[in-house]
Amino acid sequence: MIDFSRDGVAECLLRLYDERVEIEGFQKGVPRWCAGCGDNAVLAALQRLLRDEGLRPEKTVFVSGIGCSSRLPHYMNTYGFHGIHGRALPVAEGIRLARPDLNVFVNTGDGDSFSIGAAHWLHAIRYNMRMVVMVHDNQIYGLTKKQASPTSPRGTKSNTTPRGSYLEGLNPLTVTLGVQNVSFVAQVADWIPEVLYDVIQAAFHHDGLSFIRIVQRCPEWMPDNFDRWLHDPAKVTLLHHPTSLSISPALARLYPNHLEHDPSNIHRARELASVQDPVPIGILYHDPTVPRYDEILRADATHSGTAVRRLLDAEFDKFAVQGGGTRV
Amino acid sequence: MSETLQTDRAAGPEGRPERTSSQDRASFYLAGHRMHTHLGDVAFGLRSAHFAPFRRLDELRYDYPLVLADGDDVHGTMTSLSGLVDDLLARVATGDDADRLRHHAMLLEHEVRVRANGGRARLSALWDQAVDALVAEHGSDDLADSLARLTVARDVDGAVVACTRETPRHVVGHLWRLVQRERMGHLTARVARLRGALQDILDAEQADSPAGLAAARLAGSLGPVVGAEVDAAALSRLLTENRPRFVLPDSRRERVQGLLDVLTSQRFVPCDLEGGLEGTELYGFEYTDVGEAIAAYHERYEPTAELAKALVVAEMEADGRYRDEIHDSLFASWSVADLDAETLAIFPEYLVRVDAEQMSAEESVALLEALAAGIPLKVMVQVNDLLRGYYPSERQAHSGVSARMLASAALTSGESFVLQCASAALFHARDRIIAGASAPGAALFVVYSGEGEWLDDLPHYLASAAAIESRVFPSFSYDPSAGDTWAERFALACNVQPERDWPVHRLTWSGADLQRVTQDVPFTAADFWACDARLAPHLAVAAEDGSDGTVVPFAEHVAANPGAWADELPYLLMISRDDRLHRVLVDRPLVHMTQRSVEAWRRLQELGGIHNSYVTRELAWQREAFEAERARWAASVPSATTATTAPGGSAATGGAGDASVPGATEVDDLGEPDARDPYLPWIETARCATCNECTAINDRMFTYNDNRQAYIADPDAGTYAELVLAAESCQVAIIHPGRPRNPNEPGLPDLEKRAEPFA
Repeated sequence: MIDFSRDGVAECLLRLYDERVEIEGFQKGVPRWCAGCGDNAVLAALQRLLRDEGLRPEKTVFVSGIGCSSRLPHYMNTYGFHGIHGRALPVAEGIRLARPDLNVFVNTGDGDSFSIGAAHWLHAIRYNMRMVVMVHDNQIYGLTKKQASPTSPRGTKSNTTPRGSYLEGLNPLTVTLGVQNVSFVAQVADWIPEVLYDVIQAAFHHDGLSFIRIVQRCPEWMPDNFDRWLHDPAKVTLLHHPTSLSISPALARLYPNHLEHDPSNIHRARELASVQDPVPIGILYHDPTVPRYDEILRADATHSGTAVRRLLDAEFDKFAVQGGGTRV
Repeated sequence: MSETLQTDRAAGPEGRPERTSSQDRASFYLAGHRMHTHLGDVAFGLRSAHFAPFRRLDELRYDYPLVLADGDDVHGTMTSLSGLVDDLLARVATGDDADRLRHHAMLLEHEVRVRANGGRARLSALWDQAVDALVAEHGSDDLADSLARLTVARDVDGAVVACTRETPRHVVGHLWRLVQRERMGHLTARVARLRGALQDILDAEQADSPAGLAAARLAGSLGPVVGAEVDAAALSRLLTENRPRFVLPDSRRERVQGLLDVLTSQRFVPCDLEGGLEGTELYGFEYTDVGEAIAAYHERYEPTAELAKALVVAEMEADGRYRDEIHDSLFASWSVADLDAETLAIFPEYLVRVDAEQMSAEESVALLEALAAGIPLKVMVQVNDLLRGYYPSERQAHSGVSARMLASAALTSGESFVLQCASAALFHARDRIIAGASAPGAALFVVYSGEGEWLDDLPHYLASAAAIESRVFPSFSYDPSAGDTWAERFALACNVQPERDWPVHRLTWSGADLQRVTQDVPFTAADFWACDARLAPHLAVAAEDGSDGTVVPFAEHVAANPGAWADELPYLLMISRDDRLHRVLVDRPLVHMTQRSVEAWRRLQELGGIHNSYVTRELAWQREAFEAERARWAASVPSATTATTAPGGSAATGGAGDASVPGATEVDDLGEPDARDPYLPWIETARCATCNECTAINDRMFTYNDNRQAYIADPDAGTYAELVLAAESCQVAIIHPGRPRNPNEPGLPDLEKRAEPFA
């Protein structure tokens, strides 16, 4: 009960003040990413989100797999799980089921998600459990010093593909948009921090699994890969719509290509997802009505003790047991 | 920052309060007396905490040992072992096994470095020994393969020089000899060419004389085959009769012969390209005594003038331009007074290498006079003891110009090349040493060797580097041939963080509670002096329990309260041999010594254009005028954004949710470039990707706001060069350096050109 006495109000205000955590409060350790790495931008956006949304560190968990991006939980002063390669999503799903009170964020990379973790990726989309999944897609295995990843563009020279990769890179957006129960798909770039923050914020408020592909620079191993996008604003299309994101005037002036896109239109979303020049930045698809597995599981009484007992009783009721164990 | 450890004094053994510690500490600070047992003597072996990471120097890659490569390439002759290995790897380690090669090359480099510490040796010998030792120790095929490939690829050999007492002597001597060899080569070639040309003149007359055209001589010149078919006697008659002959005037013949005699008998260079001496002994040009070198120069002045005159006349004779009626009288009056610097520049020059400790007062004064007179001496004064002439008890033993001040004193002549540096910086100073050796006229190299048994077991490299960093023996150079202005001639090179009184380094250690402690600690002159055992009486180890009262870091004490007793003892952070950290208290004489060195350093800074008082005053006037002009400009542009940056979250939090494109609000987080002050640096904060590039360059100039996006907190907290570098490094190209704020910053034209794309 709120105490409306003078002291009670003061105490409430003090508590509000005490419970506010600034960005520095979410920072832990010094990031060991290379100078110039795009991961820093994601970290900054997430810390800003946690502060702005007033999330408590003890009510937040960051889960990751293996890779440069997956070091992110180390630098967040919250719960964290630096998991095993490709298995960030199963761990996050387990947390979601066991601790529905936690805000679950997943930070993974293109290699972690789309190669060894590809199966988990597809099924996590289908299960649509509430969490924010951010794929830091730098199109290379950076932590192990440059090997081609599933999203590496054709011709990428790396330690595993010294003559250049032979295959076209995987488009994670079109694949994700092809999975049943997909509910939120967006694409952002780390060097447009305004949209990065807004999309992560929208994803956090989405009631389901939000899949964000973050086009991320790797200045160490793919120094020239993103230059064409980075230095030519015309190669970026900003998506906006009254029901999703809006673009600030300053950003609109900087990036000349704007497209009004209704994120509820999955067919148009799939078309946009396949466009690579200019690259669409914003929310591609959003359907808040898709059912969530974690909610279904909780709402459905099938597995509750009462339901089990009722089912068992129903089965047992089919039998009449008389003295001496004789079945009739 | 002062730290109060503990001020309460414990009770004495008889229950009475012990005498207040204030008297003890004042007594120590003012007079160096220890009246109380709480202040411990400094045991020899303590050294500045800044040396902690360098306890095992062999494990580190640094400039030493140097490799003085064979060959005549002056500029390519000296390289560091690390640089040589890096070059080697750049050529060899290009394939799939590059990592393995690098790893093995580092092992090899370490082995060579360890073996080079014994003194001078050939690189090939050390290299082979190191390879054999590694292969014997590890026995790996891969290692043997790597080392064999590296050995084959190594195309450099030469002397390997570790950093020892002899290093300055070797390095300066080596570079001077290469320059001297080049200079002597030119003169030798000229003498040989002129001798040939003069001899040709005489030979021509001889060939056209009756003796030259005699039948026997003609037959000999025709050779046996042709001679058998030609009647030499008839030919001789034909050539000698009824034909005018070429006859030299007697005066010319005598002159040419005289020139030949001078060129042949001179002792400066060999008289032909094969090194012929024709019975004469060449002059020596290397000395270990300034007086002897000056005497030799004066003694050879007449021969120098004679040879210089002979060269000029011989050139004219060879070209046929000499006219008796004009030039006889001209050259008859030629004297030593006609020897100018340009003429002297073709002659070999004199190298004197001397220890400062062996120079008498008269010798140092003579040296300064010789430098001022422009005598072509290249003098290297090696300083082995910086305390000499500095510390009261040492000063009595020396009455001449202090070696520490010799280079500064030489600057006053303004005509001599002057370089002051230490052994640790010799590699980086090599181009300036070559410039000094090549420059016409006098040059002075004052080099501190890092020698001294009183410096405990501090390696020469560390001691000499510390002398530079602590500003006790700062590095600078003055090159009169570099330009007409002081700014072009004087350079404070090889000094770390030259804009500060002392360089500041971040030290990290484990505190008493086993927690990490990190501090930015200046490396002061007292840190250097504290390594000198002779100054131990001026230091006292503070009690670990903090019972020595209020203490204050040394640099803060000097800055805030120099020399005065303020109940706070200045302390240094020092480590013992087992790497334990101690607070060491410093008394007033040592504070005064430190002040003297920092004041000398500030004078050098002024000469180097750093914190120059004239410039500062002028800058203040200009800034005032600039601010007034900017205010007028801002008033004329109503929408102008005059703020430098967008600090704080309010200016940079603007998300896209504020307004959509249709019907957007007027909030403009990115700023309107056209309305910004083009002079001021700025960052498009809202576009910052938080990638740490700029903050890594200068975290006082570039800072993050509440949204962890960068803005320029203080444009004066760094250089324009850092602004330009940050703009170039910024991945998203959102840093705009504006215009330079310090008109005296070096390299501004180049920096402004680099800044143009970010305007």
